[in-house]
Amino acid sequence: MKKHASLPAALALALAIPGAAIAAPARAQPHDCRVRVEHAWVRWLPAGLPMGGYMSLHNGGTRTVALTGARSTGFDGVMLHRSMRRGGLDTMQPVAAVSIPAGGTVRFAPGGYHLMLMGAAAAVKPGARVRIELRFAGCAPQPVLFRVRDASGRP
Amino acid sequence: MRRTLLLFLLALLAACSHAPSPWQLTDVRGHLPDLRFHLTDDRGRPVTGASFRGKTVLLYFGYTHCPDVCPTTLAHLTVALQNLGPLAREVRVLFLSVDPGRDTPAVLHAYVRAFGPYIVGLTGTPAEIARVAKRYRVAYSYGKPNAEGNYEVSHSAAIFIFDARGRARLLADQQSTVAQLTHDLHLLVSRQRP
Repeated sequence: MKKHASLPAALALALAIPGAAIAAPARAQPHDCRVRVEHAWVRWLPAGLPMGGYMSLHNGGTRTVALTGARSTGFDGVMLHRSMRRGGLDTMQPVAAVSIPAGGTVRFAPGGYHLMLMGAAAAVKPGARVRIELRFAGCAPQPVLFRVRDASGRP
Repeated sequence: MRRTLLLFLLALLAACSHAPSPWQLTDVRGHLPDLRFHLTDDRGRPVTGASFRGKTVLLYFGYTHCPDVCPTTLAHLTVALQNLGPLAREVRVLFLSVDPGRDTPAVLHAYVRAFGPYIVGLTGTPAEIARVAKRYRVAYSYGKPNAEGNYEVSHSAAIFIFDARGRARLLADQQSTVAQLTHDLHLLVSRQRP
Protein backbone atom coordinates (compact mmCIF):
# COMPACT_ATOMS: atom_id res chain seq x y z
CA MET A 1 0.00 0.00 0.00
CA LYS A 2 2.73 2.37 1.04
CA LYS A 3 4.78 1.50 -2.06
CA HIS A 4 1.90 2.46 -4.37
CA ALA A 5 1.32 5.73 -2.61
CA SER A 6 4.96 6.75 -2.92
CA LEU A 7 5.16 6.07 -6.65
CA PRO A 8 3.63 9.38 -7.79
CA ALA A 9 5.82 11.16 -5.23
CA ALA A 10 8.92 9.47 -6.62
CA LEU A 11 7.90 10.49 -10.16
CA ALA A 12 7.33 14.06 -9.05
CA LEU A 13 10.77 14.09 -7.44
CA ALA A 14 12.43 12.68 -10.53
CA LEU A 15 10.77 15.38 -12.62
CA ALA A 16 11.63 18.14 -10.18
CA ILE A 17 15.36 17.42 -9.93
CA PRO A 18 16.40 18.54 -13.43
CA GLY A 19 14.57 21.84 -12.89
CA ALA A 20 16.34 22.38 -9.58
CA ALA A 21 19.72 21.60 -11.12
CA ILE A 22 19.23 24.36 -13.68
CA ALA A 23 18.08 26.90 -11.14
CA ALA A 24 20.98 26.39 -8.70
CA PRO A 25 24.74 26.24 -9.15
CA ALA A 26 26.61 23.02 -8.31
CA ARG A 27 28.16 24.38 -5.09
CA ALA A 28 26.41 24.59 -1.69
CA GLN A 29 22.70 24.57 -2.23
CA PRO A 30 21.02 26.16 0.77
CA HIS A 31 17.61 25.61 -0.79
CA ASP A 32 18.21 21.88 -0.51
CA CYS A 33 18.76 22.06 3.25
CA ARG A 34 15.27 21.05 4.10
CA VAL A 35 15.44 19.29 7.44
CA ARG A 36 12.20 19.31 9.37
CA VAL A 37 12.66 18.93 13.12
CA GLU A 38 9.74 17.61 15.16
CA HIS A 39 9.00 16.35 18.67
CA ALA A 40 11.95 18.28 20.09
CA TRP A 41 12.18 17.93 23.86
CA VAL A 42 14.67 17.92 26.71
CA ARG A 43 14.54 15.73 29.81
CA TRP A 44 15.15 18.06 32.75
CA LEU A 45 17.46 16.90 35.52
CA PRO A 46 18.30 18.77 38.74
CA ALA A 47 21.58 19.83 40.37
CA GLY A 48 23.19 21.10 37.15
CA LEU A 49 23.42 17.55 35.80
CA PRO A 50 23.71 17.02 32.04
CA MET A 51 20.36 16.56 30.29
CA GLY A 52 19.34 14.62 27.19
CA GLY A 53 17.75 16.29 24.16
CA TYR A 54 15.57 14.38 21.72
CA MET A 55 13.96 15.07 18.36
CA SER A 56 12.97 13.66 15.05
CA LEU A 57 14.86 14.92 11.97
CA HIS A 58 13.28 14.51 8.56
CA ASN A 59 15.27 15.36 5.46
CA GLY A 60 12.87 16.69 2.84
CA GLY A 61 15.69 17.50 0.42
CA THR A 62 17.25 15.50 -2.39
CA ARG A 63 20.67 14.87 -0.87
CA THR A 64 22.02 13.52 2.41
CA VAL A 65 22.42 16.17 5.09
CA ALA A 66 24.78 15.76 8.04
CA LEU A 67 24.01 17.14 11.48
CA THR A 68 27.43 18.16 12.76
CA GLY A 69 26.72 19.89 16.03
CA ALA A 70 24.50 22.10 18.11
CA ARG A 71 24.73 25.00 20.54
CA SER A 72 22.42 26.90 22.78
CA THR A 73 22.52 29.96 24.99
CA GLY A 74 20.66 27.80 27.54
CA PHE A 75 23.65 25.48 27.99
CA ASP A 76 27.42 25.77 28.34
CA GLY A 77 27.92 22.93 25.89
CA VAL A 78 25.98 20.64 23.57
CA MET A 79 27.34 17.40 22.16
CA LEU A 80 25.97 14.77 19.81
CA HIS A 81 25.93 11.48 21.67
CA ARG A 82 24.82 7.93 21.21
CA SER A 83 24.00 5.36 23.87
CA MET A 84 24.97 1.81 23.07
CA ARG A 85 24.81 -1.59 24.67
CA ARG A 86 28.12 -3.41 24.57
CA GLY A 87 28.63 -6.76 26.25
CA GLY A 88 25.88 -6.13 28.82
CA LEU A 89 27.21 -2.65 29.55
CA ASP A 90 25.41 0.57 28.74
CA THR A 91 27.82 3.08 27.35
CA MET A 92 27.71 6.54 25.76
CA GLN A 93 29.85 7.82 22.94
CA PRO A 94 30.33 11.23 21.35
CA VAL A 95 29.38 11.30 17.68
CA ALA A 96 31.01 13.67 15.17
CA ALA A 97 28.09 13.79 12.74
CA VAL A 98 24.77 12.13 12.05
CA SER A 99 23.72 11.69 8.42
CA ILE A 100 20.09 12.06 7.43
CA PRO A 101 19.50 10.50 4.01
CA ALA A 102 17.35 12.30 1.43
CA GLY A 103 13.72 11.60 2.26
CA GLY A 104 14.76 9.82 5.43
CA THR A 105 14.12 10.35 9.12
CA VAL A 106 16.59 9.97 11.99
CA ARG A 107 15.25 9.88 15.50
CA PHE A 108 17.10 11.11 18.55
CA ALA A 109 15.32 9.00 21.15
CA PRO A 110 16.00 7.58 24.63
CA GLY A 111 18.55 4.77 24.48
CA GLY A 112 20.06 5.94 21.16
CA TYR A 113 21.14 9.23 19.65
CA HIS A 114 20.68 12.21 21.94
CA LEU A 115 21.96 15.71 22.49
CA MET A 116 24.07 15.81 25.63
CA LEU A 117 23.27 19.21 27.18
CA MET A 118 25.77 20.39 29.77
CA GLY A 119 25.74 23.29 32.21
CA ALA A 120 22.08 24.36 32.00
CA ALA A 121 21.09 27.97 32.68
CA ALA A 122 18.64 28.49 35.55
CA ALA A 123 15.87 29.28 33.06
CA VAL A 124 15.94 25.69 31.79
CA LYS A 125 13.23 24.03 33.86
CA PRO A 126 10.22 21.80 33.27
CA GLY A 127 7.56 23.52 31.18
CA ALA A 128 9.99 26.01 29.63
CA ARG A 129 11.16 26.07 26.04
CA VAL A 130 14.82 26.29 25.17
CA ARG A 131 16.26 27.35 21.84
CA ILE A 132 18.93 25.05 20.45
CA GLU A 133 20.66 25.84 17.18
CA LEU A 134 21.34 22.79 15.04
CA ARG A 135 24.26 22.93 12.62
CA PHE A 136 24.17 20.97 9.38
CA ALA A 137 27.15 20.69 7.03
CA GLY A 138 26.77 23.12 4.13
CA CYS A 139 23.56 24.62 5.48
CA ALA A 140 22.62 27.63 7.57
CA PRO A 141 22.23 26.93 11.31
CA GLN A 142 18.67 26.00 12.17
CA PRO A 143 17.18 27.20 15.47
CA VAL A 144 14.76 24.78 17.08
CA LEU A 145 12.61 25.24 20.19
CA PHE A 146 12.82 22.29 22.55
CA ARG A 147 10.12 21.76 25.17
CA VAL A 148 11.62 21.01 28.59
CA ARG A 149 9.83 18.05 30.19
CA ASP A 150 10.29 16.89 33.77
CA ALA A 151 12.53 13.93 34.66
CA SER A 152 9.78 11.44 33.80
CA GLY A 153 9.94 12.64 30.18
CA ARG A 154 6.16 12.64 29.92
CA PRO A 155 4.76 15.32 27.61
CA MET B 1 -1.49 -50.88 28.00
CA ARG B 2 2.00 -49.82 27.19
CA ARG B 3 0.64 -47.43 24.63
CA THR B 4 -1.73 -45.92 27.16
CA LEU B 5 1.12 -45.40 29.59
CA LEU B 6 3.18 -43.73 26.89
CA LEU B 7 0.30 -41.42 25.99
CA PHE B 8 -0.19 -40.62 29.63
CA LEU B 9 3.48 -39.75 30.02
CA LEU B 10 3.41 -37.62 26.91
CA ALA B 11 0.36 -35.79 28.18
CA LEU B 12 2.10 -35.22 31.50
CA LEU B 13 5.16 -33.88 29.74
CA ALA B 14 3.04 -31.54 27.64
CA ALA B 15 1.28 -30.31 30.77
CA CYS B 16 4.62 -29.61 32.40
CA SER B 17 6.05 -27.69 29.48
CA HIS B 18 2.86 -25.66 29.24
CA ALA B 19 2.71 -24.90 32.94
CA PRO B 20 3.08 -21.13 32.66
CA SER B 21 5.75 -19.44 34.71
CA PRO B 22 4.01 -16.71 36.66
CA TRP B 23 6.88 -14.32 35.87
CA GLN B 24 7.39 -12.22 32.77
CA LEU B 25 10.91 -11.18 33.76
CA THR B 26 13.79 -13.63 34.27
CA ASP B 27 13.34 -15.82 37.34
CA VAL B 28 16.69 -15.95 39.17
CA ARG B 29 15.51 -17.45 42.44
CA GLY B 30 18.33 -19.43 44.01
CA HIS B 31 20.88 -18.21 41.47
CA LEU B 32 21.98 -14.87 42.89
CA PRO B 33 23.03 -13.82 46.39
CA ASP B 34 20.73 -12.11 48.89
CA LEU B 35 20.60 -8.33 49.17
CA ARG B 36 23.59 -7.39 51.29
CA PHE B 37 25.72 -4.22 51.37
CA HIS B 38 27.10 -1.43 53.53
CA LEU B 39 26.58 1.92 51.82
CA THR B 40 25.43 5.52 52.37
CA ASP B 41 21.97 6.71 51.31
CA ASP B 42 21.09 10.02 49.65
CA ARG B 43 20.50 11.63 53.04
CA GLY B 44 24.01 10.71 54.12
CA ARG B 45 22.89 7.90 56.47
CA PRO B 46 24.67 4.56 56.62
CA VAL B 47 22.41 1.79 55.29
CA THR B 48 22.71 -1.95 54.79
CA GLY B 49 20.72 -4.53 52.87
CA ALA B 50 18.87 -5.27 56.10
CA SER B 51 17.61 -1.66 56.20
CA PHE B 52 15.29 -2.60 53.34
CA ARG B 53 13.90 -5.88 54.68
CA GLY B 54 10.13 -5.87 54.43
CA LYS B 55 10.26 -4.06 51.08
CA THR B 56 10.47 -5.45 47.59
CA VAL B 57 13.73 -3.97 46.28
CA LEU B 58 14.88 -3.09 42.77
CA LEU B 59 18.64 -2.57 42.57
CA TYR B 60 20.06 -0.65 39.62
CA PHE B 61 23.67 0.45 39.10
CA GLY B 62 24.06 3.82 37.38
CA TYR B 63 25.38 7.35 37.74
CA THR B 64 23.81 10.79 37.67
CA HIS B 65 25.96 12.30 34.88
CA CYS B 66 24.15 9.93 32.54
CA PRO B 67 21.56 12.00 30.69
CA ASP B 68 20.02 9.24 28.58
CA VAL B 69 19.88 5.61 29.70
CA CYS B 70 19.76 6.07 33.50
CA PRO B 71 16.89 8.60 33.58
CA THR B 72 15.04 6.61 30.93
CA THR B 73 15.31 3.49 33.09
CA LEU B 74 14.29 5.34 36.26
CA ALA B 75 11.35 6.96 34.46
CA HIS B 76 10.27 3.48 33.32
CA LEU B 77 10.49 2.12 36.85
CA THR B 78 8.60 5.13 38.17
CA VAL B 79 5.69 4.44 35.81
CA ALA B 80 5.65 0.77 36.89
CA LEU B 81 5.50 1.89 40.53
CA GLN B 82 2.67 4.32 39.76
CA ASN B 83 0.80 1.44 38.12
CA LEU B 84 1.01 -0.47 41.40
CA GLY B 85 -1.07 2.17 43.18
CA PRO B 86 -0.89 1.88 46.99
CA LEU B 87 1.24 -1.30 46.68
CA ALA B 88 4.12 0.92 45.54
CA ARG B 89 4.66 1.79 49.20
CA GLU B 90 6.01 -1.74 49.63
CA VAL B 91 8.69 -1.19 46.96
CA ARG B 92 12.02 0.66 46.96
CA VAL B 93 14.16 1.36 43.94
CA LEU B 94 17.83 1.56 44.95
CA PHE B 95 19.85 3.63 42.49
CA LEU B 96 23.41 2.64 43.35
CA SER B 97 25.99 5.05 41.94
CA VAL B 98 29.11 3.55 40.43
CA ASP B 99 30.53 7.09 40.22
CA PRO B 100 31.14 8.08 43.86
CA GLY B 101 33.65 10.74 42.78
CA ARG B 102 30.80 12.93 41.49
CA ASP B 103 27.74 11.42 43.13
CA THR B 104 27.65 12.88 46.60
CA PRO B 105 24.56 12.16 48.73
CA ALA B 106 23.33 15.71 47.96
CA VAL B 107 23.52 15.26 44.18
CA LEU B 108 21.93 11.83 44.46
CA HIS B 109 19.17 13.21 46.66
CA ALA B 110 18.20 15.91 44.14
CA TYR B 111 18.39 13.33 41.36
CA VAL B 112 16.20 10.61 42.86
CA ARG B 113 13.65 13.18 44.13
CA ALA B 114 13.16 14.30 40.53
CA PHE B 115 11.68 10.86 39.74
CA GLY B 116 9.51 9.88 42.64
CA PRO B 117 9.09 9.11 46.30
CA TYR B 118 10.17 5.46 46.41
CA ILE B 119 13.62 5.82 44.87
CA VAL B 120 16.67 5.87 47.14
CA GLY B 121 20.12 6.95 46.00
CA LEU B 122 23.07 4.95 47.32
CA THR B 123 26.76 5.73 47.25
CA GLY B 124 29.83 4.75 49.21
CA THR B 125 33.57 4.42 49.05
CA PRO B 126 34.93 2.94 45.81
CA ALA B 127 35.71 -0.25 47.76
CA GLU B 128 32.20 -0.51 49.20
CA ILE B 129 30.65 -0.07 45.77
CA ALA B 130 33.07 -2.52 44.18
CA ARG B 131 32.10 -5.12 46.78
CA VAL B 132 28.40 -4.90 45.88
CA ALA B 133 29.16 -4.93 42.16
CA LYS B 134 31.31 -8.03 42.58
CA ARG B 135 28.60 -9.74 44.59
CA TYR B 136 26.19 -9.44 41.65
CA ARG B 137 28.91 -9.78 38.99
CA VAL B 138 28.19 -6.30 37.74
CA ALA B 139 30.84 -4.53 35.67
CA TYR B 140 31.52 -0.82 35.24
CA SER B 141 34.37 1.23 33.89
CA TYR B 142 35.36 4.87 33.48
CA GLY B 143 36.20 6.66 30.24
CA LYS B 144 39.00 9.17 29.81
CA PRO B 145 38.20 12.63 31.21
CA ASN B 146 37.84 15.37 28.57
CA ALA B 147 39.25 18.92 28.80
CA GLU B 148 36.55 19.90 31.32
CA GLY B 149 37.24 16.85 33.45
CA ASN B 150 34.00 15.13 32.44
CA TYR B 151 34.04 11.43 31.75
CA GLU B 152 31.63 8.70 30.71
CA VAL B 153 30.88 5.67 32.81
CA SER B 154 29.94 2.33 31.27
CA HIS B 155 27.63 0.41 33.56
CA SER B 156 25.53 -2.71 33.74
CA ALA B 157 22.04 -2.57 32.32
CA ALA B 158 20.72 -5.11 34.84
CA ILE B 159 17.97 -4.43 37.37
CA PHE B 160 18.02 -6.95 40.25
CA ILE B 161 14.74 -7.54 42.05
CA PHE B 162 14.67 -8.87 45.62
CA ASP B 163 11.71 -9.96 47.72
CA ALA B 164 10.84 -8.58 51.16
CA ARG B 165 13.21 -11.10 52.77
CA GLY B 166 16.11 -9.89 50.64
CA ARG B 167 16.20 -12.93 48.37
CA ALA B 168 17.10 -12.34 44.72
CA ARG B 169 14.01 -13.23 42.68
CA LEU B 170 13.94 -11.56 39.27
CA LEU B 171 16.23 -9.96 36.75
CA ALA B 172 15.08 -7.13 34.48
CA ASP B 173 16.92 -4.65 32.34
CA GLN B 174 16.39 -1.31 30.70
CA GLN B 175 14.57 -3.00 27.82
CA SER B 176 12.02 -4.73 30.04
CA THR B 177 8.63 -3.14 29.36
CA VAL B 178 6.62 -1.21 31.92
CA ALA B 179 3.89 -3.86 31.53
CA GLN B 180 6.32 -6.68 32.42
CA LEU B 181 7.69 -4.77 35.40
CA THR B 182 4.23 -3.85 36.63
CA HIS B 183 2.97 -7.43 36.28
CA ASP B 184 5.85 -9.04 38.15
CA LEU B 185 6.13 -6.40 40.86
CA HIS B 186 2.40 -6.66 41.51
CA LEU B 187 2.68 -10.42 41.86
CA LEU B 188 5.79 -10.30 44.03
CA VAL B 189 4.44 -7.61 46.36
CA SER B 190 0.97 -9.14 46.71
CA ARG B 191 2.42 -12.55 47.57
CA GLN B 192 4.32 -11.03 50.44
CA ARG B 193 1.51 -9.17 52.07
CA PRO B 194 0.50 -10.69 55.40
